[in-house]
Amino acid sequence: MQKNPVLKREVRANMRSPKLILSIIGFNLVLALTGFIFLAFFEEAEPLERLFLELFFREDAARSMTAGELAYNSIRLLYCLLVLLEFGLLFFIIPTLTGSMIAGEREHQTLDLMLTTQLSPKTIVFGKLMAMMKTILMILISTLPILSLVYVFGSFSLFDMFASFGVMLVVSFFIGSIGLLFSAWIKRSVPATLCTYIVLLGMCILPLVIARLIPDVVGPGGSRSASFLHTLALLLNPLLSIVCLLKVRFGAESSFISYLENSTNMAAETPIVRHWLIMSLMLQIVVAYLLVLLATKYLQPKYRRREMNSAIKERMSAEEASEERKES
Amino acid sequence: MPEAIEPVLRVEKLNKRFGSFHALTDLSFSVEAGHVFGMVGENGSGKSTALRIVVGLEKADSGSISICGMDASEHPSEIYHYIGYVPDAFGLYENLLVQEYMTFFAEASGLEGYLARRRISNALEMVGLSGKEGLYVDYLSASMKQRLCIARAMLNYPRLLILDDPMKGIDLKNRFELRDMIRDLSAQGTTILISSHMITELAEFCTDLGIMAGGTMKEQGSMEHFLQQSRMNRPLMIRVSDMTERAIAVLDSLDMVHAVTVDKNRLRVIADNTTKAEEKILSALVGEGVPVVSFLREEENFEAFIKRKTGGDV
Repeated sequence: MQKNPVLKREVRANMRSPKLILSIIGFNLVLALTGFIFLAFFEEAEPLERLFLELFFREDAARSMTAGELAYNSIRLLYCLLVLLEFGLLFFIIPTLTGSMIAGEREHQTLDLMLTTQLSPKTIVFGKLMAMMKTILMILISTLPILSLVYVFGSFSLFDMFASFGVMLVVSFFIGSIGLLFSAWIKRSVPATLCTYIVLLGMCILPLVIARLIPDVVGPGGSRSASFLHTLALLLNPLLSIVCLLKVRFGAESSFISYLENSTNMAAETPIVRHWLIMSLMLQIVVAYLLVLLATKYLQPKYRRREMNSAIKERMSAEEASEERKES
Repeated sequence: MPEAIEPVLRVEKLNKRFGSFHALTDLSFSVEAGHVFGMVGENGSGKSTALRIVVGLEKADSGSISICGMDASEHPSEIYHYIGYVPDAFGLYENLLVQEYMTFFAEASGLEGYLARRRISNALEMVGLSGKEGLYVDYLSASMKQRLCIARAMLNYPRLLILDDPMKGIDLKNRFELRDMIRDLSAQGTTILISSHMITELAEFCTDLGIMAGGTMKEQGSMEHFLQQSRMNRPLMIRVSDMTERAIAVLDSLDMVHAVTVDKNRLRVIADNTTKAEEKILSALVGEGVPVVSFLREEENFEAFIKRKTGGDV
């Protein structure tokens, strides 16, 4: 992969761009401020803690809210907050990185030049994607010291850190592939970025709303096809993957499983429900790969949207005007 | 009997539609080895579309393209060994050094290590950018950027160099330098296909010319042929003080007169480009009593001649 000229160039250009430094600083600043404010005011925030724990962990929260475990619950809350916040920041940053990946090259008239070399569309697209993943990797690694705040209070292991790191990487890959597809399909960076945001918001929120609104259709006893599609949508929901990670980590797996049972027509014993996180991540990786392959198709001449240059458009309007004059 | 040399580029009956609009209609032309083929036409005549199809960035609806004897549709990746393409926009990475920019495209073209470095050095020297390797692309002037683009296209020592309006955005002084550089490349044996609006400059170094209009090649031939045509078709400008209609009637009756247009009392006459024809025309007019004030052969420039052929503003 290092031999990919596109990857090499992207990494070199990114290192020179202030965007990367600002992203790392911004990312860490938000996480650090959140962490430090939390630690400074966690006693005052106790009512909020209870509310969060009750909503997030349901019956498990009541069990753990006793004296002596309060510090652990606060740290649990802090860890959840940091992980969710990190996901939120990635959700915000990745579409802006991917939106201009292919569309930006098109806008700068450099995509055509690359396509007239030995570089295949696949090499170009994968080079771009890997460069984005390198940037995300750098950002995630830079946040490890902030996340390790929770280690001060114990009961967290390196495995927890690597687990959340790995899930973030997979989710970033998935989100990045969606952004890359829109960037290849749509000619302009800004619309591509906007479409990515809209689709991602839809993917994260809609399945959860549907499960609430029409449980009879998608839930137990509902239509099999609707339930199947809904299950797929839930598996491809990156937010749900993060929530699943947190719930499993803190022993709230049973509440998550019961949520799945109520939202789909799958029983708790099914492998998909039992190993939801792994299944979800694997499916996201497969779908991400397929989306990237689809993105390469949009770079091939056969699939490129017919782009009329302005001179041809002028000629068309002149010819139309001339015909109108002849008719009149 | 020696075999005829295959043209470097042969385009046959290319058609391309955008929706219901025909951008190219049965476009056919060929570029011989070692020649410089200039493609001219008004805006929207299909020049850039034709070039983009030739280099594989667009797919034609029908027709065939043969590059160095290879069918481009059957060998889409092999043809990139033979062509170098400079589009009408610079296409530069502003935050890279000149050396890095060239290295990227060298690697993209399959060159590595010492061979890549040597080719880069040769290409930059060819375009007069030696010593500029350490500059950021952003710091180059417009003319240098264009030369850098040409250097990039020359990395593979292409058999066919395709330049889409290379003079666009370049000031007069630097256009002369670019023109000289293109002439030098041609002298070194590179076949060049160039589309441009600068007809007078094309006339100085092109060996062949193709005139495009309405998505098709209206006329093509050697530059010498067009220059000769231009000389032969210079009109007679006759100014009369009176009896304009009588003058037109006299001219219409003469065999050697091909066309007459009138602008008040000035007559623009396309006739045979011979002294005898001029004598006959003048004596016919004077014999009929037409008061001729002036009788001159117009010095039409080549650009105006070509513009009339394209049917519009080039």
